[in-house]
Amino acid sequence: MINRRDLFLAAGAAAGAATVLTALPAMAEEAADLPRREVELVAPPFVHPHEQATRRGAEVVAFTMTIIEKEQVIDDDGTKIHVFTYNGSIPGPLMVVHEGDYLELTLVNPPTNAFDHNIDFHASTGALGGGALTHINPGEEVTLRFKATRAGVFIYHCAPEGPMIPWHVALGMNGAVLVLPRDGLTDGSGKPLRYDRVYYVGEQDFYVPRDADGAYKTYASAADSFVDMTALMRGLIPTHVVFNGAVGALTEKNALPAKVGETVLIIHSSAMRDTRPHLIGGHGDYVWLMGKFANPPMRDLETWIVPGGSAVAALYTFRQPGVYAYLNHNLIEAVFLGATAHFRVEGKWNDDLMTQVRRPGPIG
Amino acid sequence: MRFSHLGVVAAVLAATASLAAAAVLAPRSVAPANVAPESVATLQPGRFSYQPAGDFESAGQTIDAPARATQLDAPLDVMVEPVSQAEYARCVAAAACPKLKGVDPAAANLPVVGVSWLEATAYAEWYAAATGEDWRLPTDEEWAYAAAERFHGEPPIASGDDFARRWLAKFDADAATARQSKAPKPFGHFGLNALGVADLSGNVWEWTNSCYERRAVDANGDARLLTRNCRVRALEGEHRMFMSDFIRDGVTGGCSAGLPPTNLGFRLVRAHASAVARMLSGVGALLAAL
Repeated sequence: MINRRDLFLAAGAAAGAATVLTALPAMAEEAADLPRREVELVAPPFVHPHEQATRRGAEVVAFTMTIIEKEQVIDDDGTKIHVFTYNGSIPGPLMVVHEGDYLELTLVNPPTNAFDHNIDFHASTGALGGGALTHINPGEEVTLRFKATRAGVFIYHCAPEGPMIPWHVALGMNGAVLVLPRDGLTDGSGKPLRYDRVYYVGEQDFYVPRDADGAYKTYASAADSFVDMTALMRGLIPTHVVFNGAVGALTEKNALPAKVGETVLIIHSSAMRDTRPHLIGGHGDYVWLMGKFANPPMRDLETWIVPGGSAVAALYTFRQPGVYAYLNHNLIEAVFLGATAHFRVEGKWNDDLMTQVRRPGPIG
Repeated sequence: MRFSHLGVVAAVLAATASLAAAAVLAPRSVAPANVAPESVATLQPGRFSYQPAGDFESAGQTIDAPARATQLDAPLDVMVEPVSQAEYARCVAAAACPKLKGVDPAAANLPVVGVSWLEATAYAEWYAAATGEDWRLPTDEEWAYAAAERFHGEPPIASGDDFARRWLAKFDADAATARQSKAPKPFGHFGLNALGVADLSGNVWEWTNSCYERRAVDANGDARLLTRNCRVRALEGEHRMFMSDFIRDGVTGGCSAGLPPTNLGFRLVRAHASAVARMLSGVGALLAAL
């Protein structure tokens, strides 16, 4: 049996083949002459420091990610599954570049891992999003460079072969890239939009098989879970829908801090399932529906949609202090399956925006 | 009323039960063949500082419930351990309690969890009838008295005219509380308190009979009742909260802010009677059963 990877390797080896997917570019590559900047990645919900608008010319922005296979607790009951991660986190880190920059990623698959992996960047052009050029076995590494030709938020994910594709993504191998316009974000009519904080929320569906008594099963290895888990996945009903890898990863003591008057950019990605973020007690002042900045943002949204396989950016300026739940407004998924975050907002209450005219008390 | 309130004290909560009210471990009661005898701790009458459960307001502002000196008037027997899974299973076998998932009839050393107030009450009524003794759920203040130095209640929240500050302070207090693991622990795991009562404020929150109340505190410190809702009962454990009476698992999933109880269980109390009176009562119950 010849799989797609073998095919690519064979094609690459065939001298003079008309259409080959190899690292050899058909057009001259400009990146070699550009300045090169290495950026250290930060685990979500946080994002590495970056300029919102830049006067610099195009450059090569270089990142390194190590693939980590590990066990992770995904809910308050201590349910533990074997997950696959980019750089140890679910979702993988947000990588920020500007339109016209070259994003260069060195992907490392340590020999301690058991599986082969790759990466498909929705922000890139060609070669299955780079998936065809980045397939690495345990003990290998690869470097891919692509030109960020479109501004927006885009997901990346692992896409090895056949059933491995949804399984690797359902085990956590997805993240996002933020390609900012060089002049920064605008409202669509030229007014610049800036943010004081940026948070990256990655929504993740998990499918944990149960035993005859209904208790979640544990497995000695990821491979041992494959048959049961993929059978469950075919039913399309997740056992967990969580933000950032586990129930409670962004609530309570992990709440996202902000202050009244601050503008927050919320990046929300979902690799497979459609979702509908909502900020309880707030709004989306500007939402780039579908997540691409060449399109003007929509205004004043109550709830927005993230199609599975994409990321969306929403900008909001907090106007009241207190606790805000930011959730998937399928409230069944938010409350029972885990898709909830908290913002903890400091500041002075604005009675003009809201007042309790009369306290709760007896009728009459 | 088993308690008399002696007026408002300025000090904030802490439920410092007077240890002069020393506990006496009572002999096991005589019980009919179908129920196990209970180990009980007898709480002696005493005075303590108690912060009542419910929402309190003063001059139109939400305030912490004012703590007040409270007196236990008569000796009270409290189960040393919460009701076990094996005990609950006997109530199920007697068709007096609903069957619950995860209850192991052989688990005499594990608390029953995943029980609603309705089921806890059904158990209390069955157990009282089976033993001929006046077993019932404790009130919130009885639970607080029995918990003594293990009582947590509610964290003090800074008052102010900005309600968002109270809200954030409560959120922070909840967030600072470590989540406990869900698996019920064998009796004794969380130890005895100074009154000889075991496993208080561990990973099981316990139902009380106290209803949700809203009260307004006037200038004299009197807390006037505004409304009461008995479909919602006070739960005690690592922190106090109110819960609808039909809920078996209080996990919120983190949607709204607020720390959920890890497990819901219960223990019962009864008025203390002398050993002789207890013996006669037990014999009476046996005769009635025949």
